[in-house]
Amino acid sequence: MKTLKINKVSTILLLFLLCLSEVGLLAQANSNLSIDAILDKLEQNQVFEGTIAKGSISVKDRYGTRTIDMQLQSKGSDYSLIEFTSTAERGQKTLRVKDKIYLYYPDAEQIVTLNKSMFQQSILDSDVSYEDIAGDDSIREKFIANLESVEIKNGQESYKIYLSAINDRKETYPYQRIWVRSDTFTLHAAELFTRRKKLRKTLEVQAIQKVSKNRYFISKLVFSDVLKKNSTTTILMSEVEIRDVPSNVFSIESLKF
Amino acid sequence: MRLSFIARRNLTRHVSTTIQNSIGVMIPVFIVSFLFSIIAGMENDVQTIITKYLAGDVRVRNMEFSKNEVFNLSYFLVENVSEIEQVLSTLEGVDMVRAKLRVPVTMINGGSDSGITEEANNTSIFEPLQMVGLEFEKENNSYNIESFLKEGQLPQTNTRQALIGSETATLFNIKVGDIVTFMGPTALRGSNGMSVTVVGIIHYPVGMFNVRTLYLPLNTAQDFFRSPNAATEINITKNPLVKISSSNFQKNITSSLDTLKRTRNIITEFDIAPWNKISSFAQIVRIGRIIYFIIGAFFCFLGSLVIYNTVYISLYNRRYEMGVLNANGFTIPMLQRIMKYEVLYTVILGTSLGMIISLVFISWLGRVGLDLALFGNKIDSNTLMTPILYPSLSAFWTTLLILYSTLVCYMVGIAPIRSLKKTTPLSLLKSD
Repeated sequence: MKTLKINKVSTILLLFLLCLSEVGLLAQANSNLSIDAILDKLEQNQVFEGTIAKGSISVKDRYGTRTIDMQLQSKGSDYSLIEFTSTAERGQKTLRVKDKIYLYYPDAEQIVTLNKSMFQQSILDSDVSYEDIAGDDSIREKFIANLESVEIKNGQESYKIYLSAINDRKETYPYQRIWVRSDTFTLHAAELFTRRKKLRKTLEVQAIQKVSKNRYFISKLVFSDVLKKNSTTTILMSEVEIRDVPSNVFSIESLKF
Repeated sequence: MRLSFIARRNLTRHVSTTIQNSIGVMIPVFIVSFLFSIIAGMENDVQTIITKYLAGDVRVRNMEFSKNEVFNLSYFLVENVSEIEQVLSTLEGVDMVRAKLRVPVTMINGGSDSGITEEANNTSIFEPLQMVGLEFEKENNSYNIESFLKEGQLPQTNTRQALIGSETATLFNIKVGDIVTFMGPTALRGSNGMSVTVVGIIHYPVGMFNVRTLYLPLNTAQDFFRSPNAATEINITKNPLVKISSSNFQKNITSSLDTLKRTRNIITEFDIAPWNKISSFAQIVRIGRIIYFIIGAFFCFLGSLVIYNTVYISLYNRRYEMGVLNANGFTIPMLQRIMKYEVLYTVILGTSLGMIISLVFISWLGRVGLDLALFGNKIDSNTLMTPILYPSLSAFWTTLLILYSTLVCYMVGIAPIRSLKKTTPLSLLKSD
């Protein structure tokens, strides 16, 4: 089994923002395929020049289910902007520029720049935290990957890959197990572990949608924070457009408009 | 000649012994009554703070909030606030019904609001605060909140105006006219942010209300928290002029809320608590009283040992005198009774002196107040106490203390007298 340094998988978590996958090859599972090739295809499929989509976040816990509607714009892997459109959160925006996160509230005069200590807070009391959506594009250099097996996961043939951080103190989830679909090379499921190798979060891709030739879009993703009992967060995306988004959309000045 | 008269005459004959014994009783009585007055002062202080400023005589909250109080789950609210206020304000003995919305928020101190994000390296500074939504008009009618304003004015209803606690203002250098931005959770379990203009700086007599606090008009707070017509608690204050017991007052509130729940199909379970069950500090003060009582009992016992000792020595020194009395027809039981009278009078004298001195001292201190800062430590901002304590003594505790000290000192004091039983007239006369 070959090992390879790859990026931090929090970028994979960014899928729910990027929500797009591109298929390099619609190949049948091939046990001879190297892990380099699998991860190359996975990583290549995560980055687009621009994405515009509508969607919702549904949080289900012991107090019931609540749904927050949103609009998403992204550019490459460094820029994303979420605007919440539900009545209670209308006008609130979350801007991510590389590893920085800015919050805009319509009733507040100041833009909130989150510091690292606040990244562990959950977004809208969901199973997703700010650190799950923060990341950079250099993650391939931060993990060592092992292809464990090819197996059927939730009825889908997938490559099962174990990732361990080179420097476990720097990563939020230093140990991760991911399943990559063998047909589309999109993320299928993931288990995220703490430094003490305790399971912290799970995510499962429940639906993908073909948006163009060889391009797939993750349209339903379920997060679960193990620390929150009986809680899941489902992210649904729809009305996806893949096109260039102007850079000025991702500036603090534009947040106020 | 009556034995009690002989006892009184003996006491005047042995003035120094009498004074010594009386002081032995007087000092512990004074100390114990002083300790009790401090505790009573603290209890009065806590009651005033809770009923006036914090929670009223009875506080209504969502039961789920109370069960999970440690997690501060503000989204467990009391809804239909205006209807509840309307119903409760018509009840017998109700002086004021006030709704409050308390939400933990984070004040954003700094931050960036210009420039392209790629170059923006500065991050916001976050400071935890408690946002309190108040019905300022009612608060003013209840305890004249305006008198606590250090600067500025009260916020107007339906505006983005706020009061800030004096220590918060000092800590963050916030002045009247400044804009404060904060963010926090909402009742819908989302998050929200808001900017408000500080129109006044308030300085409550209780430190904890001035530290990390931001006071908004209730409807502005509800707007921020996305909770129209809802509050985290409703405070009901009793009219002191109406004679109604606390338990009946609470029962009336419970029964009218039950009726309201049935008629309006409200499913929220209410936690209806009297003031003395609200704060753990009030309970600590009650425990303090018990501890002081134990300390007091020990002091009284120590005082009584002084009497025991002097009575014992007195018996030894006066054996010849007793032998003479015995030869003149006074039986041993009669001599014992004389001694018991002497102890009783001494104890009554000591207790009376102790109480008189402590009453004079405590009543003076009750007027001028006891500045706790004199003891070296500033009052902790997180305690429900004012910096000036006004000691007081209740009739109940005064009576109890008099009876207790008299009884203990008397019982211990008469113990040596039993030894007279074993003596003979001859041995008494020979002892000089």
